[in-house]
Amino acid sequence: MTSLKLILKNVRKNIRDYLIYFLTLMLSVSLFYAFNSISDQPAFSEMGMTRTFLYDQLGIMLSVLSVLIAIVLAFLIIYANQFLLKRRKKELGIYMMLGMKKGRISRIFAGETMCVGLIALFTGLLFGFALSQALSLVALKLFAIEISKFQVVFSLVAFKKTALCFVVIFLIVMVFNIWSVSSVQLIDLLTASRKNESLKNTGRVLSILLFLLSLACIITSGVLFFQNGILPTRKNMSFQIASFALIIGTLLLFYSLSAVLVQVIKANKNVYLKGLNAFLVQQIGSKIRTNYFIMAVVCGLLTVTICAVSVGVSTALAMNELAQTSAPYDLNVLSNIDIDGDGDMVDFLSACDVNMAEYAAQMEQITLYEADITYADLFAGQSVSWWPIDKNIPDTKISVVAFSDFNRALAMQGKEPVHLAGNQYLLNCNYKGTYRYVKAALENHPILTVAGIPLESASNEVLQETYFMTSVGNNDRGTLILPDALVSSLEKDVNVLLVLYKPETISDEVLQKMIPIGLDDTHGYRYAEKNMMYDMFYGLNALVSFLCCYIGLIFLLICAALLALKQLTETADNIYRYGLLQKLGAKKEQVNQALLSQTAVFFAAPLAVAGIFSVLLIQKAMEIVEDFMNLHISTNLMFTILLFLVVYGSYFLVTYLSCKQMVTERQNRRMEV
Amino acid sequence: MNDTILQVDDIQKYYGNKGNLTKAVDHISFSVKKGEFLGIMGASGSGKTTLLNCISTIDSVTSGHIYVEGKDITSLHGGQLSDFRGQKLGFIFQDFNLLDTLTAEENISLALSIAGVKPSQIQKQVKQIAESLNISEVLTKYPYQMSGGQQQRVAAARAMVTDPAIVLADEPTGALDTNSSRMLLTMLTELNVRLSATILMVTHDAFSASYCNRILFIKDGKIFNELNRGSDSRKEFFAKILEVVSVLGGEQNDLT
Repeated sequence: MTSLKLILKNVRKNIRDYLIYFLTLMLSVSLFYAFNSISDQPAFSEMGMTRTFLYDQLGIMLSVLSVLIAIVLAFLIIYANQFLLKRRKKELGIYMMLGMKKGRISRIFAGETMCVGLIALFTGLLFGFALSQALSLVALKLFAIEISKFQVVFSLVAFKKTALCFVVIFLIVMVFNIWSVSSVQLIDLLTASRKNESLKNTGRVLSILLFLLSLACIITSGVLFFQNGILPTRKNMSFQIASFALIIGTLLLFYSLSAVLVQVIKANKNVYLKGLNAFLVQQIGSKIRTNYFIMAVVCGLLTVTICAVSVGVSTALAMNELAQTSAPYDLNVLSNIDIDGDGDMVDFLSACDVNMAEYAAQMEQITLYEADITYADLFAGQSVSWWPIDKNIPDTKISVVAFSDFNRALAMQGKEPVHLAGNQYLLNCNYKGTYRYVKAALENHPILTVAGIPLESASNEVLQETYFMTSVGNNDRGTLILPDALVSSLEKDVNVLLVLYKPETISDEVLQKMIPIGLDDTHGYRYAEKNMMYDMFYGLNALVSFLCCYIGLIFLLICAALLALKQLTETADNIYRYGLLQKLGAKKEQVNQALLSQTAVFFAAPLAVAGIFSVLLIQKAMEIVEDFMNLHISTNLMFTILLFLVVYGSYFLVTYLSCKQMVTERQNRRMEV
Repeated sequence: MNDTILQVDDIQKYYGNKGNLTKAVDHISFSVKKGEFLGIMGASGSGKTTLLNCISTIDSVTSGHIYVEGKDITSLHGGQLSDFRGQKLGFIFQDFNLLDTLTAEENISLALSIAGVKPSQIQKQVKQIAESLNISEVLTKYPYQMSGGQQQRVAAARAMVTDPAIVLADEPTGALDTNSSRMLLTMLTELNVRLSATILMVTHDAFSASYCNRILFIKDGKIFNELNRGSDSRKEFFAKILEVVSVLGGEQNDLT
């Protein structure tokens, strides 16, 4: 009977008994490898500059995230290991009883950890290798690269990273194991199973007080977050206070929740004494109370997951939608007349070493004016609710473009010109946030007074043309098209140079020259380039979706694994109680029902609280993203819900089924003996 | 006094703190000779298991000394303690405490390999002990495939196979039915006679106790009475035990 044989036997048993833990380890390794390996796909070297830049960003963010995720994973693995070890106290006791020295016991446990770790690492890497190919394909699609350039690659860098990371984690676990083995007392080990859990029963009044306190904490933090946003500022301590209150509140909530619930249900005798409810309520109550810390941690992780995935996916979808409305020009250069004065933009560009004539097949310079009325005037009489990013629109003066400029712009796109008489106007708008108000304005008061001259609308329809590109999609929030004669009395705002490239023009070359001009703060020159915009859309899209899926999947896996593990081990501990229930005459279905409700509550409680937190936080997070990206995003929860259904749901299902099997198996064995 | 295997010298074991002190073992002294089958009886909470735990080095004594083969075991530490347990003690527990990842044979041989016996020797010894305990046919089975009686006999084999100075049995029949109990006790007696194994058994059951040569009765942490079987038959001894038990006010009052 060598140590090695013992180790192997124990490993086999452990993998069988804690399959969920092992699978989680394996999945973590594979996800870790797959996401880190994306950067090694050679097809990405084919990308344009903007995309390369974004792609580098992806690499950097992935490695930062990986460190974070490695830390969280380390927490999971060490935690799970510690409590699996606790469950093997008796076994440990027997070894000591038989006179095995602590050194050898430590070696056995370390050997086991190493074995389990190596198996998980190996299978995880194999699986991760397969996964990474699929992931690369998705990435190529998101970055809009031809699939034909795809190659099957084994990423040595990702492999090293994954191996290093998990070897370090397993080493820490090993040290933990050795340490806990060498610090135990034999008497505690052998009597461990006989000792009852010490139930800390906080009094009824105290638990209700704690419950109220927790609610107060959570509400306080909610109010603070709502008022001051969810980003830390140097101005005040709001963020710190709110976070602290939220953490304390969540901990207290789970600590006191069960006691309060049990009280409430107990008060209603009809419910409490029906079926197995009394058993069930107490069982669930004690479970939440004893595991309040883990519940709070899971709740926190779930909140992060829900927010990250929802915000990410919503952003990606919004970007995608925008990218689909085509960009009609290859390049737009904008110059702010307040700063640069009114001049020929081609001349300026030539001075900056950009000879537009060389690149352009067609060029037009148009001018945007500011009307003497604001959008608020235009929308007078309507009750308008603005998206947060559009809050200052009402005070903005309406953009105006001259009739001839507008037609020249359309002509470049190969479109028919519009018609306008001397006392008429047209409205153009293609921004979702304002379109319906513009349309309503046209219907409500077709007569519009600009520069003291009343004008009537030339058409009942609002035009939806894209006559110039801005850097973020085609957000024309509403433009008046006025006769040339009238326009000259208005103030000039921006000159726009519309450019269509010659077929042989290389867009990167132009972009390279435009970048310093765009960055020069002394001049008001900005530019929008078609390929760059596409790349931004696709790139950001890819970036965001990837990061969100990565975080979401890993955190979700961790949460589900923690809960599943807890539930499984606790069912194993309580198996005699279920046997007792059946001896008392409870039907098998009733016992299964009790098991199902228990598992469900255990999985649902943190999710429910996390859901409530998320509702608040998503909204705030969305506002930040909207501000940052300067576009409106409609929240899309479908993907999040789907992800949760699949991952969380399957863990729940597997847990319930294994618990059921555990209980039934036990009964059958009893009967045979 | 050469054949004294175990000598317990005025030991005490306290639990709790100053305000709430429990004397689980209160000045107990006795000695056990080689080849004795000693029973320790007492009601629940009388301190008998604590006494056993002290002797088995599972627990430490508050004061006093315990000598096994002349060696003071209360002063042992770390590795010495492990060696002592492995070579000098054999344990039989109420709930068997077999390793469920190992077969019966592996469970028994583990004790030998921990004690450092040569592999060639191990198989022979396991075979021998299995035959004498009548478990040869279950050697390849795992604990969960055996009956309780079989498991306890495997545990007994594991305890005996290293030829320990003393075998400590803590309510060995506690989880067994009458038949299995009887079988186990008969075998323990046989081992005691044939191999002159020294056995110390803690029990609260008069029937189990009647298999012993000598019985110590413990009440409130003190030795209350002592019975020697002498040349009595088991039946006579059993009757005597019951008498003492009824005086003790134990839980067996209703047995007769």
